[in-house]
Amino acid sequence: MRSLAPWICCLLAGALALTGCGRGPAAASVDNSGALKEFIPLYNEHVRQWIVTQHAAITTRLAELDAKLADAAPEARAALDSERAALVREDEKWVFRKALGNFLDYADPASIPADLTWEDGMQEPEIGDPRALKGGVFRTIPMVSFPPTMRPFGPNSNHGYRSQFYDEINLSMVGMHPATGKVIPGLAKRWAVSSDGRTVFFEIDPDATYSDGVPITAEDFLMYIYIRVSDFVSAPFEKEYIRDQFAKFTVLGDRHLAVTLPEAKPLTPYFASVSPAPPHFYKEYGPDFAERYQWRFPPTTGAYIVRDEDIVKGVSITQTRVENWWARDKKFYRHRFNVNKIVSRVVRDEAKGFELFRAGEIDATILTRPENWHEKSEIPPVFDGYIERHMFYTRYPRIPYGLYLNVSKGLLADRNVRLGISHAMNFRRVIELVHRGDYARLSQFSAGYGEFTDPNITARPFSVKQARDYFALAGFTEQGPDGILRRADGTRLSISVTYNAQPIFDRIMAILQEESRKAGFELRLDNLESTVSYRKVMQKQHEMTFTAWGVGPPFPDYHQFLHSSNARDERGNLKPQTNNIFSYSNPEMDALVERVRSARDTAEVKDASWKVQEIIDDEAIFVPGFSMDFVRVGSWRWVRWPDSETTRFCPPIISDPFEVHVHWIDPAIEEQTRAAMRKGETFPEVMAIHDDYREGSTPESNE
Amino acid sequence: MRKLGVILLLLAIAATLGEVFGLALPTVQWFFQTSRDVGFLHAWSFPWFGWFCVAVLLILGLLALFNEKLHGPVSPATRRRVQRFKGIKRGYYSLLVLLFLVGLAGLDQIIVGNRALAVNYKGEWFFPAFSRETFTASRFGESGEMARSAVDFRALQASLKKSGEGRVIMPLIPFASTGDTLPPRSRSLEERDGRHYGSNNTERGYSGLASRLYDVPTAEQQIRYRFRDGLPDGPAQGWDRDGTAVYRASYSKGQLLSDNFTGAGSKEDFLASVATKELRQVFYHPAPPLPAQGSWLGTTSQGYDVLAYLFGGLQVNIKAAIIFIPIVYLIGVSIGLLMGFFGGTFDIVVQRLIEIFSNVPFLFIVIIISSSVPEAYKGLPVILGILVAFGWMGMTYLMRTAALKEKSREYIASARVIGASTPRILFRHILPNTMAIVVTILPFSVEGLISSLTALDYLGFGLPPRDATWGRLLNDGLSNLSAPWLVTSTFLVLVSVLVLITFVGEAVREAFDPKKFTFYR
Repeated sequence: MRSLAPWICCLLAGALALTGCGRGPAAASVDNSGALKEFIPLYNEHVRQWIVTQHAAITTRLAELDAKLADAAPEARAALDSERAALVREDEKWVFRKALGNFLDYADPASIPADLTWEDGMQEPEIGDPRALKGGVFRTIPMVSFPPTMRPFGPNSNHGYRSQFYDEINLSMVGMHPATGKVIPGLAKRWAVSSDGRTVFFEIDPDATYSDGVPITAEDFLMYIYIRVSDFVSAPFEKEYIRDQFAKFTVLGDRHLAVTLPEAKPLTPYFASVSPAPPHFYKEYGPDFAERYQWRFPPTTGAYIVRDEDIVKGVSITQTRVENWWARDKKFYRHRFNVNKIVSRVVRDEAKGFELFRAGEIDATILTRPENWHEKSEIPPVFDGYIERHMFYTRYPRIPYGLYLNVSKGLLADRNVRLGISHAMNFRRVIELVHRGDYARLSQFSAGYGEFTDPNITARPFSVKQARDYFALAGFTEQGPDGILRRADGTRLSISVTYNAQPIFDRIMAILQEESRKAGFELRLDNLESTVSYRKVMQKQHEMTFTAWGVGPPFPDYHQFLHSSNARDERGNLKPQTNNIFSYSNPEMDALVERVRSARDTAEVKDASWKVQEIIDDEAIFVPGFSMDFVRVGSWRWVRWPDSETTRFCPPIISDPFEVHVHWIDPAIEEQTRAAMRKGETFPEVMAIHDDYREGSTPESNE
Repeated sequence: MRKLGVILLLLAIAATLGEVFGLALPTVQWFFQTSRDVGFLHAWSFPWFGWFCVAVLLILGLLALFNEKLHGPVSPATRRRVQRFKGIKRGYYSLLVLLFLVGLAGLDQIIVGNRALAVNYKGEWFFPAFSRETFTASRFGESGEMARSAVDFRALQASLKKSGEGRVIMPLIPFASTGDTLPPRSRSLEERDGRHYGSNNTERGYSGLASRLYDVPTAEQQIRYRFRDGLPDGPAQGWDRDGTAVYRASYSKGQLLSDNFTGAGSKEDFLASVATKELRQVFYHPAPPLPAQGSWLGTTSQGYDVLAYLFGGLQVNIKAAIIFIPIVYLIGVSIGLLMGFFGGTFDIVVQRLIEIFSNVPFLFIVIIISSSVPEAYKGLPVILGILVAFGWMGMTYLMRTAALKEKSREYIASARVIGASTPRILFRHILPNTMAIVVTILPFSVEGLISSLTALDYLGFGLPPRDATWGRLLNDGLSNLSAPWLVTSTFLVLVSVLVLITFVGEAVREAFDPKKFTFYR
């Protein structure tokens, strides 16, 4: 007898399974176009209340301080006076902001003052080479992992490839010239700063459109703010940044925008520059923003877009040049963004990435690491001239690799111990052995900022004698049987260093450990997996840590690293999750740090920065490691680099030459090269060293 | 048995002598050193743990020595098994080789180390390798800033040879297994007909970098040239003795195009500051084997000598085995026997517990614990602790079966009838009869331990970098496949040791097999 039971079971199972296959809510389309207008008054009220609270707090603190000042001893007066001056400045800022009224506002274009001096930045030199050819496919340096999202903001959007798709490409109102450091036009055709130095008026270029041809209007800049600060998205940094660093946005008709900063700043237009967001793209913006827009690339003001079909998850992302890019023939942009397509593959293993480059499947690679430059790229394609190598000295702020000392931990509170440690760390040997002598010793925490770096501060050299002298001053005079110094009460001179357990850091730390024994200092190595190490440091549980911060031009930033508010909270406990990993707290430093942040002009920035750097050096809370003054590139012959009057190879204020997009691909040379490779013909080897921007070598001081 | 007893007694005596005379004797120093290092193993500078280990060694040694007197002669069955084992040449010789390796590892600082065995300085003899304190350079005439720092015996050897004031006798392999980063190695380029030849030649000569060195052992470079086809071609850079870059030059096909000197003194003085015209190819770490410089298997990425590092790894493996096996077997065998003997609820409950624990993912636990252990406690104990926690369960299955089998035999029933207590039945009657299983599994447990340790170290979750381990070297080698000596040497050593253990294991299995011949179908 044939049983129907199995068939019925199958049918039931099938039906059950298929009920799960519905079209999710994300597919349903939504139109939230009117949301911006509703949002503006709500947000204005929110900001107004926040300003009132902040102002009230400052007023209270000022009153308390005045009371303290009234019956303070003369010695304490100086510190209290400087604190009062800083508070008065803060207070003035809040009064100013209160008087501005609505944070996001509309006004009549006729209200733009008539006596403004408009600038257009056209006196700056051209960027790139006029001989650049448009076209070609550039297979760029592979990504180590596929980005978690395509969104420019929101959860997980702060990954390492965000700059490749957005920061390098998008144009905001103005930009910074990568060679001179001055302000150049972007979306704004011209701009002017108000008489009080706090408001910048931008006139949007009439040619400016998004990549889909829709023209840009001033209201789009409010859209940009709305999508980032509303409750629909989790973007804590952006929300705070917009609310704190800006005082007012005023839309003056379609073509003009006024941005008011809370205080006058040097390079005001640069700091007041904002970007627009296309309202038609963000029509579906709502509570499910993060998932809905996960893989959507917005229409951009820049030269490259990412089409939906070019996002191959887990494999590659391709950027395509916008055909009729509005800035195609404008100065500063016409010789840039030359290739038609940029392909970024995912290759998890760095060694494999190099092999792909060697095989010609990747067009260029970074060869800064010594073993890559001196060994891996001493290969036949280089000798035969098919691959060219370039070494380019940059003028970019140096990444502060070094030892960060947590002064709240035991022995490190003693300045003599810190000075001894500075002399007991043999970074020169590290540079010789691990970096093959290629790198230089970093001079100080804020190196590479041009005029804002004090050139008189240099790193303390490795000196056993000076280290032992300082340790002796700290009471470490006896030497134990194991060769490590100790105090009379038996305390051993032993401090741990926490760091990310990468093989190269293990190598560096092992050398520092061996060399510091010569000075009687025991460096215990606490190598942890990267997230664990990061968390430990953020909890301020480390004694010393070997790490670095990402830094950028134009000015050094100190508040997050050195202000006492980031070291301890009101009850005096160490404050976690801040970047003050020195746990350093000093009223004089606080005042200077605030001066740097709120400086009105570059002279003030320079003066205050130099003083901050002097204190950092004096207190020895940072032991400078090594610095890379240059970047080294290997590229196949058909990748051409500028050689013009204004740009030889690349502008200097860059961290890697590809980010300015001045290179291009020459198809004729590609054909010639491939033909030569087939026939076995060679070209002369090319290893060019571009040291036009090389700063004088910094010898170590001998204090 | 008697030989084992004698060895144990000698170890105990050596440890005592070392402690009493303040010497650091190879291997036996470990008891007292651990006792002093670890906080809870000493009390007010009295190393009780060290004395405890000595006492244990003494007792075990005496028991082993007088085993015949206490327990009568060895049973004929055991003697037959031992004979049979010795008859299987492959297994027997493998065991001998392994014992030789253990002995070699036991020699510790006598054959591998960077402290001198003996130093004769101005007529006086010192023995740094056997001394617990670090020798400072002031003992050997150094009076500058390095006076209180530890002596570099290799450098001392070179300087005493030159000055003739004394002699330094170093161990066979004069490098420490870790903590001894070597300067870059170098090799001289051959010169023929005006062109130089090295290790990276095109058909017409050397292409790569070559340097003139101030001092070969420390590899301080005076001038570094770029060579193409055996002739200098391209930029050259020079440094003074302090390491400041003072010289730049440019060559094309062997001809000097231009040069520029920015240091103190004249260019000619600088160029003449190195007497020899010898050009050397400098090998940064990982450096290939260069027997001329005493580096037989090359160096690791860190700069440690590979041969010394492999020796260190062998020591770690042996130490781990000696600690791990007894603990795991003690726990596993006891619980297994108890489970089998008692049966009933106890058996069911413990079996379920074991099932639950064996489903805990091993790797995740290791990763979590490795990350959260504070830096002071990182090391072999924690790793072995985790391995023990996951390893004892395997033994219980076998012992439980064996105990169940033996429980139903008459001699157990008769022992119970005459009133023997449970521990007595277990350890006096059942255990000796299940020894066959324990002994057969033993070599494979060791093999498993070595593999687990190597795997954990390869992933980076095992021992910290201050311990030499084969897994870490494997990882290093696989990330640097252009330095094949790293992987090759580690692989060969690891495979050889595991194969030797496998041979021993197979021989033991065959020796303990009740049947004369076993056929596998």
